[in-house]
Amino acid sequence: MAHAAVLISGDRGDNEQDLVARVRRGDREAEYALYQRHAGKVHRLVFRLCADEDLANDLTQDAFVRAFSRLDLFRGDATFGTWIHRIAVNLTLNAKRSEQRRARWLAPIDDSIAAPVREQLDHDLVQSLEQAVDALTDGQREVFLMHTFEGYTHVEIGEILGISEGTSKGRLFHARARLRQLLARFAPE
Amino acid sequence: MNDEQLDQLLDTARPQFRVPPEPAQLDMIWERISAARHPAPVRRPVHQLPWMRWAGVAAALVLAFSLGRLTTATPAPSTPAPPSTSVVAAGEQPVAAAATELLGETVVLLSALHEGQATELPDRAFAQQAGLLLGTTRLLIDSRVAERDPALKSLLQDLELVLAQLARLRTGEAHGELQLINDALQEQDIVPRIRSVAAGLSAGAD
Repeated sequence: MAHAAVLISGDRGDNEQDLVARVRRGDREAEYALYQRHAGKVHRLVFRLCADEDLANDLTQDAFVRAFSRLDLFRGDATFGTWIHRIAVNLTLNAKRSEQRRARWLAPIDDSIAAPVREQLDHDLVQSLEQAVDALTDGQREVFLMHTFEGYTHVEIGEILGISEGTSKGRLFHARARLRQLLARFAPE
Repeated sequence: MNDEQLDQLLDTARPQFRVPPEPAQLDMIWERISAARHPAPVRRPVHQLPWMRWAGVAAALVLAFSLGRLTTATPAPSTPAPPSTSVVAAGEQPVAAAATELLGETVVLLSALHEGQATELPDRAFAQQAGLLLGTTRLLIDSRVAERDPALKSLLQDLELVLAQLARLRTGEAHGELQLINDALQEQDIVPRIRSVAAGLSAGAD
């Protein structure tokens, strides 16, 4: 747990609570210090989740603007790092859902939902992995990407997504089971 | 396939799967955040856009001028836009001024879109400007001035969607998107509502 808090806070010796307090008083340098501390990791995670560079830029921007402008709502129960990650992940999920709704609206004849996902899998592994990851539930996808590709622990994932460590492990288990099915054709001999 | 085989596959795909971009863009993102958080001292690159050189005119003049141009080409709404009920408290005048400025700059942007759509698609600078305005719009949505003025809040929420779409326009892929945006502008009576809300803000500030 302590490891998670340190890792998510990105603590490198400065007191993050002091930085948060200074931002509340309007200190722009403190804003920049907090941004520098967390932006790289937040941007990286958002990109992993949305797979769109421009969208990741927009969502990272939105997340920090919201976090700074709503700092009065931040009570310090979690670290600022956890909080900004949570905001960014929520924004990304909402954006992805909007995009999916819009895509469905624009392409009502698209039968991708009815067709077995496995049949659509491209022979190329990376493309097939993209499709298979997209076929996971939102919860499974978040946990799988955060754990497998960004190295977050289940404790960290639980803090960011607001779920228990056990739930995170369960989602990863089901995600991997689904991926084993969807990617079976690529199984090494 | 077993777990070990899946791990092998993932290791194979890892170098090419959703590889995060280099963090060089973080400075650009910070500039946008800073502009959204502290709009007054930061000069936005409006004057750098080729079709918006006249945007240096005072915001009120631009607003009035542009509204006149736009509304001549826009069919009258079937129902008049509800009047803004803004009453600006003394301490909120800077926010109201920022809202007025935002509306003016948004109209400038929409004018550029309106003028350019027949001949050329917006370039990347256009999308960046929309991104800057989007950040300010989102801040204003949460402001007390917007809380007090439902017409302003509703307008800002609609502008948020339009600006988000404009901010994501890609040169060369934008024809279909532009049509959707223009449809949204028409259906939601965006321009007449900007006029009504801007008038309300001006009256409230008096």
